[in-house]
Amino acid sequence: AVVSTQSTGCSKIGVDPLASSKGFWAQLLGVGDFYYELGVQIVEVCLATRPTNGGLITVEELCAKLGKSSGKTRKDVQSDDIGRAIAKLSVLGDGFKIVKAGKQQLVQSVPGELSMDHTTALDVASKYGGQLTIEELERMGWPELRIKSTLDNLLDQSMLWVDEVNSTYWVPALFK
Amino acid sequence: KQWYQRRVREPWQYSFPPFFPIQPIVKTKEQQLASWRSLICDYHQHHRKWEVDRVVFENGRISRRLSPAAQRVVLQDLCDQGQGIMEGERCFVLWKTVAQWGSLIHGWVSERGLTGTVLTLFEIHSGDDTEGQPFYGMDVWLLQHVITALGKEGKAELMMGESEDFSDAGVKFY
Repeated sequence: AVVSTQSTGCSKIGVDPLASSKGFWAQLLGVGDFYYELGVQIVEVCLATRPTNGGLITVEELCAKLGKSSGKTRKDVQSDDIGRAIAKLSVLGDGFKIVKAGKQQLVQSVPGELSMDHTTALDVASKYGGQLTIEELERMGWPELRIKSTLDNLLDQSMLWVDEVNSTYWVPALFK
Repeated sequence: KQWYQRRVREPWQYSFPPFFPIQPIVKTKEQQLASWRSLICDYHQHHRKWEVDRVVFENGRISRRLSPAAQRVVLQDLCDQGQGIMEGERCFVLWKTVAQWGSLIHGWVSERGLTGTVLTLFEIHSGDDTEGQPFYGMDVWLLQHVITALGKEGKAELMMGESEDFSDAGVKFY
């Protein structure tokens, strides 16, 4: 009885509930073909870019890369679609989560938690087009060891590259 | 210096300052060197340059360049991966492998029904008949190297002329 009422409601406003897998019924019933398919594509992009960015990619860049791949639904991908797809992926286990850096959102596609210090460093880098300096971290009152440990950690994961010319660190994922 | 033309898409790394110093973390360095190999091959293939043009090692726009030491690391890696070959001080870029070049040249020779005849190296790299071919304009040292490799498979025989620089050398294909 509920279904038929809803169907009538939908047809009144001109929406075919079965046609759009992104629609109301899809979410309610978990018919998430759109999100599972999107999830697969997200995994592909993350794996392809992981060697250069260490497993961090902005949602913005992800949307842009997904927009380029085939599929008529791709131009509909919004950042909250990414969020929903990631939520489904994380059900499959560790390794996909959203991390915030300043005003940006990053998708982390490697297992393990980024510590608060890591995300703070990414925060700082996001304000300067991906650039991170020791001075900035010192300005926040971080002692030398804490700075070194954070930078070393991010370097080890290839999430940070170093420019020796002026001892600056760069997050490829946040580089514009 | 804008050496990338519109048709060749500039890789994002080329504007990324840390792309120029060799990265200390091994995993990152490996990725960096892979990007350099691809950038070097793309540039040389696009511009049909056989010997390394060091202009690729510098990006004036961000005031960065590979140091001489870094250049050595990059070129050594290029050669180790089979995409470059050193001859003394000269480094040649192999956007196709020696085997691929051999196969192309031998294929062209067979198609023209020229197996069994003697050709000069000059005819192959600068002859009227080879003008549209991918190996047209190939540096003569590289060409003799490719032919020597074919020789090891019994597909060609290099014939030295009087000069050591291969300018009057010939080849017979089988």
